[in-house]
Amino acid sequence: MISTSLNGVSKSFGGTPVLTDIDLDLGPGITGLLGPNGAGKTTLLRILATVLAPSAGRVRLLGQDPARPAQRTDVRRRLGYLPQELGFPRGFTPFTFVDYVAALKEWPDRDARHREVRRVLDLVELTDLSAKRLRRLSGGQRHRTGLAQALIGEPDLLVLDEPTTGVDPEQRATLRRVLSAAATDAAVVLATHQTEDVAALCDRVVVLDDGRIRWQGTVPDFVATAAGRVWLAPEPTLDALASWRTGTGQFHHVGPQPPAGAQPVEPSVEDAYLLMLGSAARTAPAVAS
Amino acid sequence: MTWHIDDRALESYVAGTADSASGSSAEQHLVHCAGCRERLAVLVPGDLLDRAWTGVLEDVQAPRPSLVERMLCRLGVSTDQALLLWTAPAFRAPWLAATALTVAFVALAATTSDTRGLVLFLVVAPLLPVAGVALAYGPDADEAYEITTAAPASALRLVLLRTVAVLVTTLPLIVVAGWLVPGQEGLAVTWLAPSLAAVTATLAASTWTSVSRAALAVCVIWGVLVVSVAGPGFASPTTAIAPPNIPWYLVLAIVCVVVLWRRGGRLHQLGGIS
Repeated sequence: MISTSLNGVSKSFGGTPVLTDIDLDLGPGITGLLGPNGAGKTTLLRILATVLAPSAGRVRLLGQDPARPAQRTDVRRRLGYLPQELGFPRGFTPFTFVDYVAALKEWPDRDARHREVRRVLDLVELTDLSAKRLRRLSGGQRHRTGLAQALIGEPDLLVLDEPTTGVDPEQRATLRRVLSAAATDAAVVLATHQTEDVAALCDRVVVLDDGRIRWQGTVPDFVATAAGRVWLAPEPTLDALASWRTGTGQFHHVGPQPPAGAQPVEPSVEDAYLLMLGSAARTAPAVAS
Repeated sequence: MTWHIDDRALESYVAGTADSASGSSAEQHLVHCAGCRERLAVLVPGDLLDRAWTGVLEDVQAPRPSLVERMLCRLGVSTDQALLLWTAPAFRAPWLAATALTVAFVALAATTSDTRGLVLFLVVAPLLPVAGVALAYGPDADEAYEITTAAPASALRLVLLRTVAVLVTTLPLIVVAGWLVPGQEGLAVTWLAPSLAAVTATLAASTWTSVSRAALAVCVIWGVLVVSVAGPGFASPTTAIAPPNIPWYLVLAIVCVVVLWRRGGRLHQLGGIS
């Protein structure tokens, strides 16, 4: 598959840097983008979706240069995009909305377009609700409609901004199944706050913080960064980066120093994420107020 | 069952060539006879069932194309372009209601007031299509704006389609309103030229700045022009649309179309990568 890459990409809005010196390579499979609010995840996804141009750096999407109009159009023909906030025109049903997006994606033949619309609605298990008004559907069902439009035409690059937010566990399982199937041949990039989605779905993880990539690599390598720093202890401690009482009555303790009587436990993606961002906060230079 | 459908009748029933009496008889029998249903299932080609099921889904899920879409398709517009045109904001009830109310208000003012009402009509009427264009695309008007931006459909073509939608819904209302203003028979059509110039100027200016800024600038220029040429006390309220001035608006419109054609790829607010 032709690669998608960002080299030295930066983006500023009105002189305020939002992304700084991003280097990223994307191949087939799912890449999870983690980071706190304001880290620059959405801006990065919008650059990958050809909605924004970088202020500096080189972007190649599916081997094409999106700064050139003809190549940008070619990328868009092979791109699926689910933005963070997706509105639906009044009166639309899942079918009419996806049909509308298919028309925007240059499916001129009505029969072929409708076949494709039915296929993607079936993928996200919305066939039974496809004729119902979107405003009467739940947030999760509307979210699945958004995902369905992104899947039109089996895109080679799928850019998804928080695709599992607001969906219940059953619907999340559906979305995971769909995304993992799509990632067989496509590069899928998803921004999420759900670390369990990264653990369940992603081949790679990228941690963004304050507009910079703090870490990128495979999920097992990411989890390994937290090895030896996650504990179960009988008592809470103030030294931890994060500590909470679990259902067993013991305290899950994330931090470099084990509390008294603690037993080491296998870390999760969430533990690694908390440690990475917690370390960043602790090592950040103090700012005079 | 004392009888069964013979092979030839069953085949003609499947092929759809049975006459109505034989077909009805076969249908009644099939409801109650499992054996004949099994024989029928073997004869029915798989793709026929698929096509039938697709047809059912199509009827249930896909809405019938609207009257406007069907008319456009008859005129040779492709189904996807007709769909994009029909779904433009200008065809939605809030826009139509707002336009109708505004037109009614300024027409009433022109009818019942002195020359100030006529000036108000002349300021507002040609600008309504401009407002429609300003609201036809961009993040404030298009709920699916970001998806639209990332789609391969030509931004220029989409904007022109939506502009056509605005003109189709707005112009007839204003023509009728202008025709109803007493003593100003020419008012029904003479404002069309400046309106055309204003719309094309807005689109052309949108290749440099956002469409909302372009529309605002055009509105201000037109308002100042109408008021300033109306003379002291608005003694000549219709000077801006006097016949000698009409060709200038048409020339301006042509120039703006050329600019739009040459710079269409730089349309702001749509097309992304800005």
